[in-house]
Amino acid sequence: MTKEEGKVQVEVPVPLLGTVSGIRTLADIVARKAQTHPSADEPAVVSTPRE
Amino acid sequence: MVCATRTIGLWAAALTVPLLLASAAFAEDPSTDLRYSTALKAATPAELTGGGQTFRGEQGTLSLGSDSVAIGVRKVGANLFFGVDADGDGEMDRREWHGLGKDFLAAAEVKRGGRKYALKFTVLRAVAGDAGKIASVTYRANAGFAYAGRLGGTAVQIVDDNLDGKITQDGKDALVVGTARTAVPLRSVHRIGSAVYRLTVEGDGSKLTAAPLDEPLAIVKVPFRSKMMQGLVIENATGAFELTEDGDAGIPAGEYKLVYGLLGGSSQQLVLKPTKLSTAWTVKAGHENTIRVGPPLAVFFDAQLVGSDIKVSPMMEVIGSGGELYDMNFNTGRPAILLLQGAKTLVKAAMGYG
Repeated sequence: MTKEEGKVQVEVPVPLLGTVSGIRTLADIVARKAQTHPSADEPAVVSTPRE
Repeated sequence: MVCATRTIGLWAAALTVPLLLASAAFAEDPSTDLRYSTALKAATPAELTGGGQTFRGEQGTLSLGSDSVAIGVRKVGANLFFGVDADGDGEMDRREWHGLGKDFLAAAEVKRGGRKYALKFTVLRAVAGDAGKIASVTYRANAGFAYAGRLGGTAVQIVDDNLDGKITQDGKDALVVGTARTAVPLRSVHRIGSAVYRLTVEGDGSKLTAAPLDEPLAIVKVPFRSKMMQGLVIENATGAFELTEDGDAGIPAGEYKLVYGLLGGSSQQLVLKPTKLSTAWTVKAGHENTIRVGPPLAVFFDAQLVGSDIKVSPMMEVIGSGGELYDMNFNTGRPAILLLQGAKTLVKAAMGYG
């Protein structure tokens, strides 16, 4: 397995919310790249005009 | 002719009464006197997001504005006691020591300078020293009192949340509206009942004056199941709002940030806190605005590749889609670590030491 295709996933049981996981590639871990949230690129607010 | 005149006069009288009633209802008590109350039930920003203070030895001092209060912790047998010089005579006599239960909480009403302060103390950490003495104590003191009144039929409570002995509208004190379970930072603009007001609160907490704010509002939706959410509080420099109550009714347009949130019931609670990853939300008037917060959640963790081993730090955080931290002060069970190749799981193991 290469660092590019390998990933580490951590799963944490969270009361009320179930199991929450986080995933990072081995390449990012070796490069010490800051972890980002999977939703970070989505719009902060979705606004719809009210009729 | 006489008969017709009388008829017109009766119609005029009948119309006058409802118009006066409508006018009185619209005025809706622009101010209310506030009174000291110990009926504060809601969680406050300082209580849920504030840090602790530490003193060395068995005795310390709590500042209450220009006044100070001697406090202490003692261990007697297996039990811890919290002392508060409530009457200000410079000593903690027998009745001023309170046993700490499993929740490490103590309560006392302190009197200083003609004012009363019902306080809640939480011992976060007590370090044992020599000969059964306490070496240091980290604790948190919070307001267990408010200045309470009613505005337009809705209960309001003003909380001296930073315990500095005065009420300010810079977000350091707090406001509870109605039966809300979470207080908002006290600023100028708030929703109370069916209207949004610009508030003025006297510095001694004696009076609140409200001027209705007439501007288009933004509806704000939060993607959490409503039963789970006790409160989600957002603010900007002028206003603060609790979205489970205010979101559907509308808040002024603008950019807001998270103050804190509270999920769960009495047995299990999660506190949401802002982080450096937190998103700012700009909500538009005349729009329904769904803000990015909550699910999906992600575990943020630190890991290192050491030789052929992967070491994962136990210091991990659960972060929501708006960058908010889910603060869990209880045992959540052991995390699992998985090594994946593409979509295939190569190894799955419970996290352990070593």
